[in-house]
Amino acid sequence: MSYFITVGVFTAITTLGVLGTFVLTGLTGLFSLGQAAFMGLGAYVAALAVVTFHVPFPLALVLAVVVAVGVGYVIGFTTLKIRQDFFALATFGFGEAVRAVMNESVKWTGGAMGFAGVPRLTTPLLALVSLVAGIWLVRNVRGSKFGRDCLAVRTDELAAEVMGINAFDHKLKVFLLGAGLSAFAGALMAFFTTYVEPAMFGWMQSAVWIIMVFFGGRDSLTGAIVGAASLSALPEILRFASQWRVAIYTLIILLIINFRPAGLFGRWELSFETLGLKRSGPGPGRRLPGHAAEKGGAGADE
Amino acid sequence: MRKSLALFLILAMLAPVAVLAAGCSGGSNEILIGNIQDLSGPNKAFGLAMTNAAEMYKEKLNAAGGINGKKVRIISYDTKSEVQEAINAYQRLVDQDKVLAVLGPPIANMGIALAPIAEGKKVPIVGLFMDEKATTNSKTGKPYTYMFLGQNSSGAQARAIAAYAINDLKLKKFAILYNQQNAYSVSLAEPFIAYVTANGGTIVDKETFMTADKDYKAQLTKIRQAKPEAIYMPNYPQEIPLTLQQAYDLGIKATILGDNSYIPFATSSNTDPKASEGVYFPYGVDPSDAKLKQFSDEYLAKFGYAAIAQSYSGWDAFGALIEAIKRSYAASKKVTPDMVTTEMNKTKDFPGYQGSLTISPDTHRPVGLPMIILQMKGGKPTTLAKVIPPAEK
Amino acid sequence: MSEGQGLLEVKSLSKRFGGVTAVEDFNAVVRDNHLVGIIGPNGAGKTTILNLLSGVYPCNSGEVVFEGRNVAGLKSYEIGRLGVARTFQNIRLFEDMNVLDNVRTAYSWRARYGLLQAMVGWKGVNIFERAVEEKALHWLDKVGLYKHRHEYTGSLPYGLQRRVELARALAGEPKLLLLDEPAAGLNPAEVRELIEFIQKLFDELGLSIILIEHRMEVVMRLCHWIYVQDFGRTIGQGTPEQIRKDPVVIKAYLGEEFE
Repeated sequence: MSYFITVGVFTAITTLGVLGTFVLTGLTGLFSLGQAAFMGLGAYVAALAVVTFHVPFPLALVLAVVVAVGVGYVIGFTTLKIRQDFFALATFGFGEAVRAVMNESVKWTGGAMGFAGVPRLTTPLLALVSLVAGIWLVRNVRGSKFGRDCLAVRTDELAAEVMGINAFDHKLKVFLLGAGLSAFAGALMAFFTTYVEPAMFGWMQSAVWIIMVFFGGRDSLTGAIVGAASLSALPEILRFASQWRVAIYTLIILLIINFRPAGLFGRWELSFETLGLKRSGPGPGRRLPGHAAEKGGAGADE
Repeated sequence: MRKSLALFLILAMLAPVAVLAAGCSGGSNEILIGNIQDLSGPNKAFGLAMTNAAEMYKEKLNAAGGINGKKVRIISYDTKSEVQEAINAYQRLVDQDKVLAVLGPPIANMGIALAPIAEGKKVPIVGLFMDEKATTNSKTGKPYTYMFLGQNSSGAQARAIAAYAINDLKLKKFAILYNQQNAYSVSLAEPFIAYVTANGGTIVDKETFMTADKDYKAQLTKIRQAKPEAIYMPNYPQEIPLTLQQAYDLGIKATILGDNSYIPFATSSNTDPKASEGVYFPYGVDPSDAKLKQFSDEYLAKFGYAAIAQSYSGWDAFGALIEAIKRSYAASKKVTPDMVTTEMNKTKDFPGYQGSLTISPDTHRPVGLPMIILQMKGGKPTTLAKVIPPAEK
Repeated sequence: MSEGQGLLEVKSLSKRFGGVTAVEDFNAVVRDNHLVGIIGPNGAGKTTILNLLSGVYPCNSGEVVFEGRNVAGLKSYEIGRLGVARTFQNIRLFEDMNVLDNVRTAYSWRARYGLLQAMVGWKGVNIFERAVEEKALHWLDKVGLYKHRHEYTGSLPYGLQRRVELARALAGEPKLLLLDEPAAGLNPAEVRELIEFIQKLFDELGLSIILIEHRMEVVMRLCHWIYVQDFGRTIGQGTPEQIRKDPVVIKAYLGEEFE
């Protein structure tokens, strides 16, 4: 497999993992420093299932998501009721605990030496299809009442609750969706690198993902995808800079976040309408009677 | 407006890809060798040591006319100590830069991750990844075709000190204290135990700790109760001064055996000379060797900081690789990655700083390469013996 | 909680914050199609009463019987779903969303699809969303905000923000609407418009309203029954006519400034 395809596959998998952060941070405003741990969970569960227990690969992918969502439920249920800043700390603890388990259960995971000998079953096509499917799922959720309600919860939880929206329930569901997405990406990762080690899934990784989301714009799916894809490919692009590339990478991020606090894309979304290929209609319920009286003040119309 | 700015920025970021995609392969008058090292991450010191040694070697080689009139060029890529990065860097070296061979990092995890990838890309990697899983496919028991180790493996190192303790020091009862979370420690502890039990010794106690631990007194107290004659402590930089100090404080009189990280961590001023007194440990090179002194002076003058073990063994690994390329030219006037691979298997008696380097085609690891046994005296290591690591049984 | 007592019956409701009693032994009845006002100076505990009724705070003691069911202790989203909507004294809109989406949130809990259906783009999602959009646009039209439907609420002028909040509360078609100082920050002309508008809503929609205000003209013109609060206690109640003449109320609150 050529270099560009490899980088492309890594980028696709990372972007899929970052979608997990995007739904959580973009929709509910929560910061999880344990998001990469879900990726690790997915990677190890799928790798163990196939290598040690001889589970078929597709089933292992499903299993990775199921386990991550199960673990996510326990974590989410216990931590989402606490204050937002504590939630970040709690997920940090969770992530590092997952990593400690990977390190300690040497017999199963190979510990710090990593889990080697995973067959290479993730094809570029599978990675691409997964990413497209992931984007499609997230887009659908954002376009549904869930997207709206989560945004409402993010902006003003009290007002949202008064509108009949169960904030906790929404946060939990989004948390689980994010966990599932990241875990699936992790499973793909394990079967692409053929080797996983706990060091790949630390809180730093989760923090980098949050940066990617803010880089692209947490209110724009397009932004999050471009942010994740470009920032995960950027270190490769900067290879020529040798040891300076980390510094350059950081500088680029700092500049963007400093000069565009809403992220590269703000709220802008790529679609047929925004590209001017299709005229945006007023939507259903067009011709409403008597909506002309705008200036007449409340009640002056009709 | 915002749209166009965003698109512009994206294009600006993607532009270098096109530029890089366009060129980069070396001219026909150059021999390209890749170098994958941690140059910006936590293992930067090791990565720089190997890179510097390779650059020194290359400069001498090119000054003397290169190989068959062609100059050698090294393309170094940073890994930040991340496996994914190492895989990308290797692929890029192979696909874009079209290198002939790659000098690999002294980090076991990287080697283990790269091994199956190299099987597919068929460009050899010569490195210092001590863990035997980087050179031996644990499923088949056969060596990975394109992976070569330029120093003694962790197994060889552990067997060398175990053999010295049993044969020369006449010790029989051993205890062991190591970090179970650390890949390096585990890769030393297991072969040590295997060798001791297979050669008439006994392990009377095995104690482990974790990376975050700073207090080992509970484990050391248990070890003291087991009354071993010697304690093997194959640990990592930060842990070495602490374990030595705490064993000394507890009044443990048993002989202490260490690993090749004891230079510089047992010899530095962080460790009380009283605590390190009498400790035996294996090392890749002989510090009392005059040849070494010349190298380290040159290294210090060139880079402004001292050479470390990876500088010497990195030199040897790179040298063995260059020799394989030379032999390939001599035989058929041309060279391909597969020819270099074949020639690497024939590496015999390369005069390196570690000793004369011969690579076994059966393991892709050195055979007959000695480990130097050192003993701490007054806070300084003194050379005691050269031990050829016994083969695994 | 006998039948016929009306839509809402509040029985000896009390709330303390630390050692401070914000509301003490509050009793009230709101019948169907009834407009009730609560007046009182700042710190009288008016907003606290609304917060208790909408479940924002739990009460310390007492009952809130809504349609024959004690809702005290329910979460605010549960009370919201029973048909109690409200606005806030200092407008609380979802500023990251446009006007239309703000109003749409009123329908979310009624949706008959879950996260999984939303993820796979089940066609019921689209049907529901289209219906919701139509209803939301209807309400926007009613409050005169149709033109602004795609604007982000954070960028609207204050008066329009108030109307968005009102549309959002009405869109859920509540049985009881709690208005927390709707005239705050409006100029006299706007206040007159507001009074007309509330009257019209009330006449058209047949809901019940609890209105908190300290602007007398609003309460006196609109309300059928008024409770007067002072330091957390009810010091008087009655029709606007009665309140106007109640010596206790006049002494404690209205004073000379009132006619």
